[in-house]
Amino acid sequence: MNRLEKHINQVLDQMQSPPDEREDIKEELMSHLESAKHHYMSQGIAEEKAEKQAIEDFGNSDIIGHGLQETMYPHQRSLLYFIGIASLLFGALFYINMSFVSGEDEPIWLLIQMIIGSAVTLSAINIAFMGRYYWSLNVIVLIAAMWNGLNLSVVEQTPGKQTIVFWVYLVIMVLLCIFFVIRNSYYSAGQTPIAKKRRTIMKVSYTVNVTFGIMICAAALFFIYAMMIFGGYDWILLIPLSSIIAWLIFFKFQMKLIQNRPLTAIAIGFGFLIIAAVSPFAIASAI
Amino acid sequence: MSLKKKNTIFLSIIVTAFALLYWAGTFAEENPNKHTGFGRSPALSANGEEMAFSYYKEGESGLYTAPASGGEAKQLLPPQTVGSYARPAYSPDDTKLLYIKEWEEEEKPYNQLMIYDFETEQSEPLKSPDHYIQEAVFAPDGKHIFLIKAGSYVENYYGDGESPQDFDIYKMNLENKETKRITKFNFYSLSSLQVTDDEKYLTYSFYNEKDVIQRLNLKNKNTETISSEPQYESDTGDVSVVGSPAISPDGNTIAFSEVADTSDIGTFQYEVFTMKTNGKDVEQITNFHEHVTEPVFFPNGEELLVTVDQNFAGRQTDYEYWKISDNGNEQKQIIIEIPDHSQQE
Repeated sequence: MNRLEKHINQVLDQMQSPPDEREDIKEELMSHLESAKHHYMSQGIAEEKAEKQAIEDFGNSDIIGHGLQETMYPHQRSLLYFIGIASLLFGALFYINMSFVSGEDEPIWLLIQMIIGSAVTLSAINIAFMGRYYWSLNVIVLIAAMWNGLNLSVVEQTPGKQTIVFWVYLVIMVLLCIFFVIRNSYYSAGQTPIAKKRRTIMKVSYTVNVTFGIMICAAALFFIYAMMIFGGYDWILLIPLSSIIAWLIFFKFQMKLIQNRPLTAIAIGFGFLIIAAVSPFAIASAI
Repeated sequence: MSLKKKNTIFLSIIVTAFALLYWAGTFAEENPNKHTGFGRSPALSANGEEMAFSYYKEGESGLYTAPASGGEAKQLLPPQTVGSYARPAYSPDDTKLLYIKEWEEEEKPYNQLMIYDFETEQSEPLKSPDHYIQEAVFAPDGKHIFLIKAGSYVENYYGDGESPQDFDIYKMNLENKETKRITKFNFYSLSSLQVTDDEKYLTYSFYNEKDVIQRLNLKNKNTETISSEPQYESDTGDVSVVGSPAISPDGNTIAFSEVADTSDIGTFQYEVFTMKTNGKDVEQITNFHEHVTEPVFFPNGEELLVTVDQNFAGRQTDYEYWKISDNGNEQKQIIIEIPDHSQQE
């Protein structure tokens, strides 16, 4: 790998573009750097020095990469950083609150919170790798949303007026996670030019489908929470949990379908919502 | 900075932060067990001149007596490293004291019934630790005791230990230690056992969807629920949270704690009320705006000893003992000095 290619790869490290798009950007930037290099060589500058000069003119790879990322996927990486660091910060603050105000330290809870916060932050750091896997990234952020949603019930049980601050903090975090997932799903459709009207329909379809998913996950989490209060850990918890997993897998295919048939995808998403709502009761009554 | 370096630095920060938080949390964990202060359920001697109570010092409780008007306490039993002493009850001639020795082993709670002899200054168990005794009181003859015992243990919901259940009332002969079961309630909870001076009634409270106070006629075995007159409305609406009932020496009045108000931050404030055993004449006799509970009648029937928690819903309880008149007009804190045995040893 020559010096120019290495520099371009460092630029691409800051971007979440999928492989095809990455290849196009790489080609374009390479031709730009190559022509700059040839320009200097034609002025009698040695090849190595001409390369260095071209790179210097081109600019710092991190800054250029961030700039391109923000142009093509505005605020997506910042949102990931925000959600990840906010989750970590919540973990630290609420753990201290639990330990010193409620007198209950829960290291397992802290561990899960730190793992989830770290997973989101690491996705932001390694956006060049994680950004290509739109669905996986959605799953990570949705898990963060669900966990922080469950945290609302934990926060409610702690004494003191600071509970209100923690509660608002969590609600904002959950909303940001949902916002990220809708946008990330939309970006998965690629940057190829499509008619504005069709793009709008796609946006609506992604929003509606993610909303259906949130409804399924929220209902399932509510049942899991209620079942744990009244019955503790039991195999029956797997029924609502399987609804969440089923929707996450279903959404992987929906993300593709929305790109091609956004309106059909809304209808199918609604059908899945009905099945997900009915099947746990059907399974439970069959047992 | 390379990606590898960024990832390494980030993960190092996270691992360090987790370790530091975990370490800080261990400091907080130790504090709740290190309670220093009075225990919750003091007992009055039959002549009303002395009181017995448990006192916690850094999480370990000893058993003490003190003049009922306040003053210097006398240590009967020094604090133990594991477990505590609770629920003392005097014999009618004030020569003996029943109490419960409480401890926990492998997530299983134990309550052993013990008796202390003021003359010999010795303690001995009345039941083996296998019997979970919630509380015990002397019968008026001084030769028998009534006790609340759990019939069995049940595993907790979360599988993190066992809890006693199937509570019933028993009568024990102190001479031959023979124990006879006198109820077949199998209640989930049962407490505040008391016997009237004429040994006609046993009063107690239990929880069955709501708090219930009952009395049992020991002669015909009939039970009778004591509830306040309908026009009296509790601050909690439909939920009855009547607690720790105590019967007056003449058996005609019941004192109990009940929610009287709600604090600014939504915590219930309990006060002590009195009513006739037919549920009439409900009267609020304390106005502390705190958690007032465990009323005990003095032998004259005109004054009561109550326990006030000045830090209810907080991490640590902060109990005080107060003497109040039955009409609520007079109240006086019982100030007790605890001798510092650590300096004498």
